[in-house]
Amino acid sequence: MNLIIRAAARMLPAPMRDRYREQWLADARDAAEAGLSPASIALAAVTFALAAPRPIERRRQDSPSVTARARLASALALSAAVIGVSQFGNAGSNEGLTSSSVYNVVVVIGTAVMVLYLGLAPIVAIVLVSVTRGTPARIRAAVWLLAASVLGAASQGLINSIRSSSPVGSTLLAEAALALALPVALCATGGALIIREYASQPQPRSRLRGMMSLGVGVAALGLGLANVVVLRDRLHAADVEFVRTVLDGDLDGAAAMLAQSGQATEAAVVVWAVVGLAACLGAAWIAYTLPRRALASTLALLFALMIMHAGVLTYVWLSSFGGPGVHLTVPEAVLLLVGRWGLVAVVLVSVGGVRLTGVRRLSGTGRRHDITATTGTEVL
Amino acid sequence: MKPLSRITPATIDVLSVLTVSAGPTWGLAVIKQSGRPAGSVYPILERLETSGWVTSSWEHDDERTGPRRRFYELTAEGATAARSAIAGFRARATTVVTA
Repeated sequence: MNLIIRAAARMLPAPMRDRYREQWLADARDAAEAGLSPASIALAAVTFALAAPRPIERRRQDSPSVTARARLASALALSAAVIGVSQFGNAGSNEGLTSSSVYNVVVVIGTAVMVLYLGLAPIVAIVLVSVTRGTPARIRAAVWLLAASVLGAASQGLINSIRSSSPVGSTLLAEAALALALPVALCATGGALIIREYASQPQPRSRLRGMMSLGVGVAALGLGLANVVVLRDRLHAADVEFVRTVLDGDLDGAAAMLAQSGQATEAAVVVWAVVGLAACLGAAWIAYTLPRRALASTLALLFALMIMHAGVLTYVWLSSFGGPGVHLTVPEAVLLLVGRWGLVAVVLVSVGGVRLTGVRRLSGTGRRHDITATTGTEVL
Repeated sequence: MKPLSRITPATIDVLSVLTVSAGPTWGLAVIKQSGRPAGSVYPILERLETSGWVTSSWEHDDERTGPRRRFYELTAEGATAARSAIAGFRARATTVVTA
């Protein structure tokens, strides 16, 4: 219980942390005396921490290392989000691809990490939503949409787990597809709101970067959806033909179709890998070269949330389409591994370093307040 | 002291406990006597403290080691406002019942 309480206290804003840690630890220790259970105190601590009001802190002078970290975090965040979203519907292969032991390593590492983030993502999403209190309505709406998409992806994973343990012929396919499509739609909408907010900056260079970011996001999502339509239809048609060929007794023809299907799949996935990598690098460049003012915006929070969603979505993809018998070429496996570790790195850097800092009031001008989130960067 | 943006039944229960207490009350005792879960009472106490209705302080017990207990007490203005809030809430509840 003490560990849970200490973790909950750690989630609080700095001014509240020490006081509530001591208070909760004392209450948990003496709960029996009051006729309560320590577990109820620990649970209360967690719920309090998740919904705690986060007072605006005074900004402090940033350091070059903080700025560099924020840039790197933004770059990793946006690129990882592109990877995550663009992997929607990206299928594993049928027989015919080059088998690789690297894939097994990727699966083990990636699955372990993504299982962890499947649990962390909803909690982080809720925490990040609470941090946006006071931000402009459009930003809050975007964060809520992204938070909902994280939970939607988690529900999809749960449905898939139920399906995999159900008798053959489970009818949950429609629900699973909807639960997967919904978070993608929510993520795309939230991302569009983010980019629109970014693109509305008065500086022309910021608008340009905002539109480029929008273009990258749309391209990544379109690539993923195209993958679904083209690849799935191709595989489905090939499967139907393959089954008919086998039933006709044409084993040589079936073997040739199998190889051809595998080659087509491999070609499609390689195309995705190349284009996806280009989109990923482009997104990283855009985020890395963000102007200093934009670094100190709430986009950092939203990027972290998109990372969480990308991580959950990647896991859901893996659980839906990966598994025994699925093989990847070495470059594809490496790309997936890089993407997954990118998610890990950006979570550790971005989420761990983001704080709500400062309110800028322009008294007498009637201009809006700028509520910002930053890793400690001075806004003005 | 700032007025509360919302006064829920749970808030009334917490205020009732603090109102009848003779002095500073241990937070866990407030939870127990209010009959509300700790997850509801902690945020209420935080809101009351932030709004200036209550003050909190650490216990002074030289014999107990380790983390200290937190005690809560209504301020003078808070006590007046609390009694008014409780009376108003009960009056509304009575009106609803008889309607």
